[in-house]
Amino acid sequence: MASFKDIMDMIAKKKAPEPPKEFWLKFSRELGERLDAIDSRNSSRSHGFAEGLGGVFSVLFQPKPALAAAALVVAINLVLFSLTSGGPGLVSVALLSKDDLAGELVLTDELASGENIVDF
Amino acid sequence: MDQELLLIERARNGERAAFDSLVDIYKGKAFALAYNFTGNAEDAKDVLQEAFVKAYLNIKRFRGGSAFYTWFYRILVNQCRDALRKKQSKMKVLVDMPEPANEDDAAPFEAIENGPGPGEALLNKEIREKVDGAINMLPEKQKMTFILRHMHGMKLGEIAGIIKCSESTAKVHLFRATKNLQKALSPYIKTEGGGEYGVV
Repeated sequence: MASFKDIMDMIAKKKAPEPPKEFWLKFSRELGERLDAIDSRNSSRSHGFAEGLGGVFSVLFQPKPALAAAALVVAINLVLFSLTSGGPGLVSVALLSKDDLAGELVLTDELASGENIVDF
Repeated sequence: MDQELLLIERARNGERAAFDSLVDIYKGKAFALAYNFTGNAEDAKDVLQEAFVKAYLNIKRFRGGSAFYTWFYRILVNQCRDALRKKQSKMKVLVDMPEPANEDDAAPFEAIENGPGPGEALLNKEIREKVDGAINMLPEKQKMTFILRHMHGMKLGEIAGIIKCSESTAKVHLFRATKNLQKALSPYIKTEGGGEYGVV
């Protein structure tokens, strides 16, 4: 039999094991591989985006008038679409009712205050 | 501390070496916390790796509103919670399976206790097992609060930041955890001398 204080002292003294060096080597290697995979995925994504953008510009500037004109039309349409519709899913606040506007403001405020309080 | 802030800033800017240094700084303490939650080294390792991966993916979202370790421990504690939930649902499925013949085979290394002392003779293996079992049986938030406070010496304000509640709520979780433990361990607690163990 022990007093509850003894038990609490025992809990406080109980330490997690110190992993051996090999454990940390394996841990670092595995974690490193996972982070490498994330890095390479990210870099291939940004590389792909840059290539795509470069492709559009190369079409615009190459000496084939028909292709250049088509690319120009696509680009103008994209710009006009984003200007007139505000982009997919976006609505100008000027068009919102008072209740909706209040809701938007509350949401914006909550998002701002929750900057570091994110569920992962 | 300034050097750590610099590392965080560099890691936020995508510098991998800086993040690796942060891993080296935190891995020891974070492993101990994961071990206390999961109860074994293998699960603790998996949980810790997952937490570091999530931290790496989200470090740009860390803007210094709280201490880095609070932010990281929040990720880690959430990972531990998810791992325990998965394990519990697996246990329900495997409830009829026999126990492994030798538990030592599953654990690459054992938990240690600080320092020798005559008290250890009193607190025999059976009580230690009962204590571990009683802590594991605590409701999730009580368990988190109890481990962070009594096994990692964190302040209530820090715990509140990690489990995302007010300081007074953390205090209530801690009080209830202590009461529940006391109740669960009552057959092993000597009552003479009176006086309950208070919550700090």
